[in-house]
Amino acid sequence: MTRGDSLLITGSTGMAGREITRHLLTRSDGPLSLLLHDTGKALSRPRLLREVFRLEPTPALIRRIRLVRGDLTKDHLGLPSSLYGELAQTVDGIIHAAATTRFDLPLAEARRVNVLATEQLVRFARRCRNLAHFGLLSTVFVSGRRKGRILESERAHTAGFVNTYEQSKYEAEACLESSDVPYVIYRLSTLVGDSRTGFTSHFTTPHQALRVMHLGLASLVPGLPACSVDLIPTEWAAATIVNHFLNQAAAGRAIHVVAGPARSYSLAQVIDESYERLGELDPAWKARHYPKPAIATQAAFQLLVRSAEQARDSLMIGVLGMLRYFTEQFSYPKDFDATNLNGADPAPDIGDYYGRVVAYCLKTRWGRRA
Amino acid sequence: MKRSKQVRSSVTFLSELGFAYGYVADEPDRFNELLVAAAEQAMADSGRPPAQIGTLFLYSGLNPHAPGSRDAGILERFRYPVAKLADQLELPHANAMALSQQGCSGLLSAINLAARMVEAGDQPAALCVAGDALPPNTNREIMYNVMSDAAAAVMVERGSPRNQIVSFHQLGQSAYWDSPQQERELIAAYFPMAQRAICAAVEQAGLRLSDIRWIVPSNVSLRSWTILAELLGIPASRIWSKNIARVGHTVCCDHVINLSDMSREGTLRRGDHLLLFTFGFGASWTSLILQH
Repeated sequence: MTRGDSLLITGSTGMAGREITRHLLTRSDGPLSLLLHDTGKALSRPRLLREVFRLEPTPALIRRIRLVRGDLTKDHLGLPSSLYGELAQTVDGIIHAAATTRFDLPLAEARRVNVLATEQLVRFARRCRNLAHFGLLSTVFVSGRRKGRILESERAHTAGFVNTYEQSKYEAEACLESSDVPYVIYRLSTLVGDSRTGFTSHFTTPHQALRVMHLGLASLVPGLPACSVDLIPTEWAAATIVNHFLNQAAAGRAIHVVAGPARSYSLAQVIDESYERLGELDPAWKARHYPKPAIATQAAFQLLVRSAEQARDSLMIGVLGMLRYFTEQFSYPKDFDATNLNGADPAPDIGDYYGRVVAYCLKTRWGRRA
Repeated sequence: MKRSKQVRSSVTFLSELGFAYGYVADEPDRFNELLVAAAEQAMADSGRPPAQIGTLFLYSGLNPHAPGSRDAGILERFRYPVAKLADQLELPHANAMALSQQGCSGLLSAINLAARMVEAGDQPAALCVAGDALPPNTNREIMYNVMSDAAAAVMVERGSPRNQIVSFHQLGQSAYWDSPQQERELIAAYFPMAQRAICAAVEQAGLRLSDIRWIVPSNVSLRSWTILAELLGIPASRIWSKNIARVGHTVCCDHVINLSDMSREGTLRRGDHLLLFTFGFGASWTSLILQH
């Protein structure tokens, strides 16, 4: 790829996609076609630049962006044939960041968004005359319930999955692997926000888990206390992916975009540090002396979930349901191989910035306050 | 009970929680009789002459209210059940006093207090009596538990050869004082605090969890004990849970009823370490370790 190549980006308003697009806008020169579905559909280019990419909408930047309203799950990406054909003539690279990252969707719905969309994009990619690279954003948790060392070079397994997000991403990767397009798969661990400011555009499961602790509703967390919880800063992940995408040569491989255990907290440390930071930042909360949740076995946790469900306690069902889909991974400790990062800057140590993430959540009341 | 709205949840759910039976007595209020009967039984079992009982503690967990209407004379408010009980038991030298507002932890706290008084003072024994009865036709389901009415009594004696107190540990969290408003927070806090309170009591006693022969439970839901056993890493079979279905939860009398039944069926052996644990509104998480 060169800095002037024309790129098609999906999911550019998502948590990772917007940071990747922002990096591309500041570090490359080529035109960017942003395929938008729901979130960005109503936004003009200047508003998109200002509100989503946090950039001053200069005429040069506005000219570089082309908004394409489509639907990845439909034939021809939901585009008119002429536009579909035109893009196929001009696009040199694709970054497919659009996905549903909900863990609790029925498998059919997760497949529709994550697998079918990838299939449609692969069809499009085959039509592209000059396609140099197809980058798919995926998750290290396509490894599902596997334990131990997880190599970048392996995907197929029979260990099963913790949630439908993992399974649908696993199948999306398979779709790409079996194609003849020049793909690179970026498997991210868990994005947690900007390491310099704590800013996050989306309050995802780790943030919601923190909120549950703040509400004093955290009871049990299933998992192993020493299990590494790999959290990564959004801006670092985006910079790493963009660097790699623009500079790498070899296609047909996966790259683990992870912090690694040395720069991560264990499950027990995440809980300890969350309480420590919340206590420092919110003395009124500290005075309530909410206990830290107990780290429990899956069996104990499932019994608690069952009780909440049988009691039809909607609040606790919501709280435990959120934890259930996220934390089950902490019963399957993994060590992710990151050989293909190829000397990229290491991720910041979680201990150096986690406090800023907590502070941002508190300051914005988990997104309810601007 | 379901038909009379004394429980809210389905029978299936309550059965899964361990409350397989429900029995509602069709008798007039016999609460005072229950208290007297429990106290007399404890006195008879100990063989201690009434004159040697230096203190009578009466504990009730439900928030007390003075009988009579708002217009009743102020003297009505000094009509003390504990004095009446001392009179009925004919305790000539007992200093009679009531304790309250420790929820289900109350009787264990009273026993601990009595033991300290007996050890430190010049009285050889103190009698702890406890009991609660819910108003007729009231809801008996509280936070996944079904409540019974009961009374129980314990004679605390200096140098008793049975059930010596090895350690008492109570974790208090007064920030949870508003039970109705903080029901969810209390449910969430229950397990982590229970785990902490039990482990602290065991450590304070210089024991390990594996040294505890029996956990004598409060008769809250069996499922909650199964979860707690998982958290503690002990087999659920070490929790003597036979009375959960039969007796239900009685505010603060469960442990004494259970100990009595364990003794009667020959479960207890001399030297066994027993851990009595309960949660009390207020809130407190309380462990008492005894050596039988």
